[in-house]
Amino acid sequence: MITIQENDFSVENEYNSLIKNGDSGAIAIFVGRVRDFPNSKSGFLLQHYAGMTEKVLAHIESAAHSRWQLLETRIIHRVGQLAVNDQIVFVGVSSAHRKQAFAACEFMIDILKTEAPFWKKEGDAWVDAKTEDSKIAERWMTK
Amino acid sequence: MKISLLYFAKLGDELGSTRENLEIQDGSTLTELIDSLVSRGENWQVLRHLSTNCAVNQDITKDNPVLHDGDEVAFFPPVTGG
Repeated sequence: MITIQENDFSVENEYNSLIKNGDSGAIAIFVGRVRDFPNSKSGFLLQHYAGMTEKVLAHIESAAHSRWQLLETRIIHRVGQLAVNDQIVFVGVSSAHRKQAFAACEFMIDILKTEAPFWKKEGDAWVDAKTEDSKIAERWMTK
Repeated sequence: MKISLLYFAKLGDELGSTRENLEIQDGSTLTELIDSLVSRGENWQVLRHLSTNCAVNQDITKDNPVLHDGDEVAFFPPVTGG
């Protein structure tokens, strides 16, 4: 399931939503947070392309389900003004075994970072994309 | 025919616009649209940059599709979410 929202999310609630009966032997979770950079006291603004964002995230979820044996997947991404230490993104996966859960969780956040149409603005400046993120995402294309 | 155009993040700032509706000739292609936008001025050259992404009806395209009435064409820089 995918949610784009301004509000914060509860990791505990999302963790519980990933549990599926007695089959969920492994749950992997990634939470992205706003870091405390010396020159970034006020956090940043997150803009997105409503409509396309949901489409891309749904595609990422279905790609993960076709690559690994998963039970549940969950992506939450916040938009709007975020402050230092705020949670930005939640990616959670449940599976019978840890290897699938770890791999699928990493895959989903790696692809999200290079394909989902979100943009960060710190003060008056738009944040530039990192080539490192593209390289990390490309690893999944050859696996 | 009428299409809508969207410019996100840095592009919106550089072009001084985030959204517009545009009347274009029936059967126009994406490349023809970009050519006509770029002819507006120097700052519109950004639409031709390799790093600028283009999505037609919310799907990224690297091709030159024929546009249709009501299409939504978006231009944006590399993404920085997560």
